[in-house]
Amino acid sequence: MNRHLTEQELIEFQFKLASDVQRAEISGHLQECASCREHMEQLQRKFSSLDLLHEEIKASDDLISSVIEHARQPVRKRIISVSRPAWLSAAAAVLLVGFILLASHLTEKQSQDREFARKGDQPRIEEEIRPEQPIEGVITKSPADKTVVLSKPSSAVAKLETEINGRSDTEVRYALALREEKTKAINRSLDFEGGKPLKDTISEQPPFAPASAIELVVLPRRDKVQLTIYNSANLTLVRERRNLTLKRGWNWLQFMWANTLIDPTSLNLEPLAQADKIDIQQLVFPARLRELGRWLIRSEVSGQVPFEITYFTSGLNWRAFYIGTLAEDEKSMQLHGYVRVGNNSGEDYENAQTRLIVGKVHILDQIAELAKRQYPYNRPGGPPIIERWAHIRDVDGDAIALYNGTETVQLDARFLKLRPREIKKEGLSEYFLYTIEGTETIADKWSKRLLSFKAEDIKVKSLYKYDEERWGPQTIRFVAFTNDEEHNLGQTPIPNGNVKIYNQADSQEYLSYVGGTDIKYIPVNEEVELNLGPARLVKFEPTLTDFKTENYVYDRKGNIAGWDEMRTWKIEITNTRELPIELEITRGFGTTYWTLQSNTPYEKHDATHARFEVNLEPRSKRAFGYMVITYHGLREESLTKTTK
Amino acid sequence: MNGKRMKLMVILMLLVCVGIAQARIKLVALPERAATVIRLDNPMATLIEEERVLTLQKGLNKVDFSWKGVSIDADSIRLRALDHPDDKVTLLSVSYPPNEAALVWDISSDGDYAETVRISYLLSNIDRLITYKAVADKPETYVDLKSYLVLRNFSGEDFDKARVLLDYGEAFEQGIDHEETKQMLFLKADKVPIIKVWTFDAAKLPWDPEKLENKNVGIPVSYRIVNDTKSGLGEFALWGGKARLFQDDGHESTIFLGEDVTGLVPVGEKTELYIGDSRDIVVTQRKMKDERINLQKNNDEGQ
Repeated sequence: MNRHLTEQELIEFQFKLASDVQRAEISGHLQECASCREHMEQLQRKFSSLDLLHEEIKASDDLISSVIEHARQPVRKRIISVSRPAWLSAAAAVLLVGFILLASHLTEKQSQDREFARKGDQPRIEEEIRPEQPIEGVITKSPADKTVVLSKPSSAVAKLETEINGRSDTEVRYALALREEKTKAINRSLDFEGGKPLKDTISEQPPFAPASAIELVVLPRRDKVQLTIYNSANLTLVRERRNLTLKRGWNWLQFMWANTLIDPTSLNLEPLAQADKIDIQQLVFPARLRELGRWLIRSEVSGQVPFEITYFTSGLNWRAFYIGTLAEDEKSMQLHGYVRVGNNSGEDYENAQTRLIVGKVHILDQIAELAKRQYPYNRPGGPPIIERWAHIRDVDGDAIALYNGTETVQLDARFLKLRPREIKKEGLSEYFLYTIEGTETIADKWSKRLLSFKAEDIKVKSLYKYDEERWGPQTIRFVAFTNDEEHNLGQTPIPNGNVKIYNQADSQEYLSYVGGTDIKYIPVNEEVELNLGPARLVKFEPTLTDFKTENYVYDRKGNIAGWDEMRTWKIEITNTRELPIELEITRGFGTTYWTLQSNTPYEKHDATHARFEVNLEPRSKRAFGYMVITYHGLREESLTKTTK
Repeated sequence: MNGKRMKLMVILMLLVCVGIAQARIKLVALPERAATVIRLDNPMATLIEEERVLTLQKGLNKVDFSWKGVSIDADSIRLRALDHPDDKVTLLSVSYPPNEAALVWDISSDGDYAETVRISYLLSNIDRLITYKAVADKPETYVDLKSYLVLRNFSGEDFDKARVLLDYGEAFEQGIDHEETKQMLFLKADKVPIIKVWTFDAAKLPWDPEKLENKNVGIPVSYRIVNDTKSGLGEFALWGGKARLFQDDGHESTIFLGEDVTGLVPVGEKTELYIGDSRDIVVTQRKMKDERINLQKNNDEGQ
């Protein structure tokens, strides 16, 4: 091996993913190359840092595959906003001092708690339950947040201290918050009793929630995220499931959405268990504090409860587009439908179940406008107009984030990488719901393209149309098919989007671009005609060969009161293509009183138009004529009498 | 009255003097605010009623009511003595000092009383909204309806504890600070029957496919809800407000169907909430004939 080993090769070697031959080669190279040995040692140190988390999350195969995938991708830059480091540094400094003070207190308190826990000293437990003191909980956007460990109180603090070492200032702040919660959890460890209510009474009055800008907070893990994205409006319904730790009595839960595009009026919190014992009393948007809301929860149980939080956000979008490939004879077409999902919401959504809604939803206010409001519900007497565009948060894509997902999610991800995602489609009310298989990670500012459907051998009709009133003096090319089972489609409507049509240019499957157009939403069993623009190779030349008037009628004063106009047209069509064509010709007469004479069959299309359909052989010309009589003034009545 | 906030500007003062000096130098007692009621039954205006105890002296008493930083309709202010509503305590006159947000009551008292009075006034920038959230079942036969009351206080005044009254139901105690908004569940009705309605009106919607130029025509879809006892409602008129409709998707989740604003729905009446457009129903219409028949003419115009 005459080159240095890549990081991917080293990882595959380290985790025994390479073949035996490759491993032997890599092993030999490592013995000879000091640079690669050093690189390998660096990687091993990096992976050994995982041991910090091994009690909570195992470095399973799917994690390894994620690491490999990550190594294949270019390194994403971490952009730090200007205001954040200063604030974080200050917060970290304050918290560090607090930590030192807390540590000494905690050690003492913890030993006491352990002692009480062994003895099962009930009066002590009662002392720890202070219904008038709420737990302050905050749900933030951190994708790296973790659940609070309640099952191992004795090891929690020591482990936490290990976790704090070597973390960034953001993570230290988080870890200290976690520490506070763990300390509380240790204190309350005997209070849980599987979520059974305790005997003491709950105060009638909810506790006071200070409108303070300084917070010490808990970050419950975001267990599951579901995005339902609409394309007819800039709207996404986000559904998050989190396990929240409640204490019996009153609890305040704080939700903050700074720098996102969330509509605060859509915030909703529901317990998914013990619903009869948990009462979400109110949602308060406190005075003077912006972009946060607090739920006041009255709970008759103590312990972890799964909750669902839903809200609308904007900035996520999707659109459909299509690529069609016509067969050489233009009698059939292959059609691939795609969806492209984009994220400009200011928030990274990791491992989110992604669903797309096809349909036209009625909304009153743009979600982006609601997100920009100074006060969630505005203020009485009309809102003061304040332009306040949300800032986009920095992208957090460092490697450790790979290890914060749950094992199940990553296991799914590993298998799903082996084949394209499928999109499940189903009808609901007037909408169609596209559910993308598994979960997706859509980072802020990124978008993803996914295959929506694939239909082979769709019978199509190549059609040319001439209608001067609609398209001027030119022939337009169409490809027509029906969204039904006969055409290997028809399972769902086809959402509106752009379609590009290609042609098989030769037997070697080279392509030529035929044209592109936007299509409207195509319901099931509806015919679709793709307008591919002017047809250069089909010429249509109408010539007026004769015009005369006759059958004048006069009133009693001798004035002309009616007459007929006769026009004779010659139509010449030239097909220079090497394929036969079908041409639909629509002629308008500007009046509803007309008759037409022609040797070529036609149909009355509507009150003012006639339509001819003619077929032409390859490289051929065809000519036909017709005479149209239009009736004017009192002569209109003669036509009415004739037709009766 | 919240003592913590310096913005608190409604000051009730009992002037222990016999006349008002031109410069209005005042030595005053500050009576404690007792029960406060915020009445939100009228969506156009919010009535505040607060009780205070005035220490009245025998003879003429001047009571100064002034405010700053809040918007009170001065003509709406009323005073009522609660302990001695008869002739023992009588409101003689009300006067408005120049260039001040204030008024002065002249009160005659036939003895020294600690008199509880009720002051009523219309306060601006405090109100309530109603919002609705309805979740339809998958076959779209009923909705689980929830209604939320949203209290908004931007009046400039903090209310620590107030009894909030709507136009029906029990009063409830609620504190709300200036610039605070509170949302609380107000009504919950499960399995309210709905009728789904598609409406095509050729006078409003285009129908000639060739004039649409590749655009869909959505047929408006609405849910009709009747405010009666059959629907599990009908106890009171439903206030107008924004309604957001969702649907159970059969996967322990919901999708958002759409939103609309409903007006006041009196008992027995129905409301239709427009949720969105159906594009799976296509109406095509074409004019095939346009004739004038049975024309009547004057003799001069005929042939």
